[in-house]
Amino acid sequence: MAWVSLAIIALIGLTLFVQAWPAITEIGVGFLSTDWHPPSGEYGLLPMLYGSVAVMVIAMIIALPVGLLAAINISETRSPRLRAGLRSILELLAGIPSIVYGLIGVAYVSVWVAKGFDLQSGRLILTAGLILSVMILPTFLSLSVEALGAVPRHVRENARALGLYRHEVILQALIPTARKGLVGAGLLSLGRALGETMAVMLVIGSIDRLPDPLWNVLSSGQTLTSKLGREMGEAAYGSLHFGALITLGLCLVIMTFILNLIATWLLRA
Amino acid sequence: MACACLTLMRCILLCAVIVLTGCSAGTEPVRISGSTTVLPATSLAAESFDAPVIVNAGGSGAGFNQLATGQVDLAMMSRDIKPLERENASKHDFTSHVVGQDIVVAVVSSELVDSGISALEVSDLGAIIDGSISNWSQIGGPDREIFFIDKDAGSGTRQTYMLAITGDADARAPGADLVVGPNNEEQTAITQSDAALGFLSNAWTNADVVAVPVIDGGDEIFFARDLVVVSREDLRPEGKAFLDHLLGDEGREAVKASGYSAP
Repeated sequence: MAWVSLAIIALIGLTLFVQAWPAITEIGVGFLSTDWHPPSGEYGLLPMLYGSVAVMVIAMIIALPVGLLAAINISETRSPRLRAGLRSILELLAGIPSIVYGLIGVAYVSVWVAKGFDLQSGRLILTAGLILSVMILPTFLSLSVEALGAVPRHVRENARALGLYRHEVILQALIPTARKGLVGAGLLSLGRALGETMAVMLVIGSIDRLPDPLWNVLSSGQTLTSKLGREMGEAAYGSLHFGALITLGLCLVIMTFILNLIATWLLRA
Repeated sequence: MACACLTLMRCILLCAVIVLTGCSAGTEPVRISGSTTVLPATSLAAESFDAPVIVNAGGSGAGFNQLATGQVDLAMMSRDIKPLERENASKHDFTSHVVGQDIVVAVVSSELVDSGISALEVSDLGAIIDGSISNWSQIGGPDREIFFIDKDAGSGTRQTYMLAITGDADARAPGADLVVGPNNEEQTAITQSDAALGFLSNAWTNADVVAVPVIDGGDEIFFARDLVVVSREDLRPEGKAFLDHLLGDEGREAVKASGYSAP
């Protein structure tokens, strides 16, 4: 089975690469511009790359602290029964289809953001990041609870026996021991944020432009995934436009691959 | 693989209207896909057709693309087929059948009409599209940023207004603040804003999405266009039957009931 999945991954990578190659040779450094305008042969992917990284960072800034605190609370202060119950609810949350988050994003979150910042539209990079943070929270939380739960009992007991307060046990014994697992959890949820399409596509605004100034996340943007979702249907198979979009897909696969590689390395037993 | 999946998801999400009428066992349903402007008329016509029809949206460009690759029997388009599109699919012959006409209108948030925007100069629209006018107060409106909503590049509606306003159907729009796909997504965005400008087919206006006249040299101008259904040379008999149905009396009624004019 392992070989089958490996073969599938290799096949996907190869297909993407073969499809993208003509575009890569023809467009070349042209990909590193900020203008995407297929009718004039311009395929700059920087705005999409920026968007993907930006929404990922926003999602992490929110989901990481919240998730970590919640994980500590669940795994250290609640009874095993409650922990099991919470786990199943979390898994349920992780199973909600992303389109549902997207619809909630369009109908409510983007409206709240627009009102809150007094803007014409709430379809912003920030909104996409907010939605994503909620979406990756269950993944991060359940993996973190697992990582904290895997810390051997004697670590806590020794720390307590040394007369440390509870917060010191957590900060100085528990988290350092579970560090690798926690970082792995973070990276795996990052991977999910990076690949998310539907929810992001609905709330990000689909503008292929870098914000001005660059850190202004209160502007509309585009991610690699939302660009693919919006334009793939219109690109004729085999055309340069198609090849350029496949190249975006290739970038996405490479980024996800790197994230997963680091996560696997950190999570190794 | 991933991409086919995305396209599929998009179709399901944004617009899928599946009309299955009758249930003649064994026959493949007629599949038709494309422009969200043509979609309401096709859906209505599918209801009065005596075989199953699957109607999907996705935009003119996506519809043509699916027809060219044989995923659908017919494509709905609210614009002409581009030379580049024909070139990319040169193995096949395509025939456009006009099913109706509509007018692309400039639409604004209802709040703008209440505060004095009653017409728009075509030159001002050009300046809004290229970003040199960015506040409604510059053209006699309230002191609010103009929120210009552009449509997807493959959209028939976009080609129509860009050609009429800038002279280039594929013109860039540096002044755009948001890009939307289907018509209902644009309606939602305009409704949620109090300073939005967009372009839609005249049948898609409502109490919150209000059409304003476009003026050129003192006269009102109209961006009229044909709504077409495109077939490929190897159209199946079932598809041909549905095309005839669309072009017949019941089809014309459906086009009129959707707010367009029938030929």
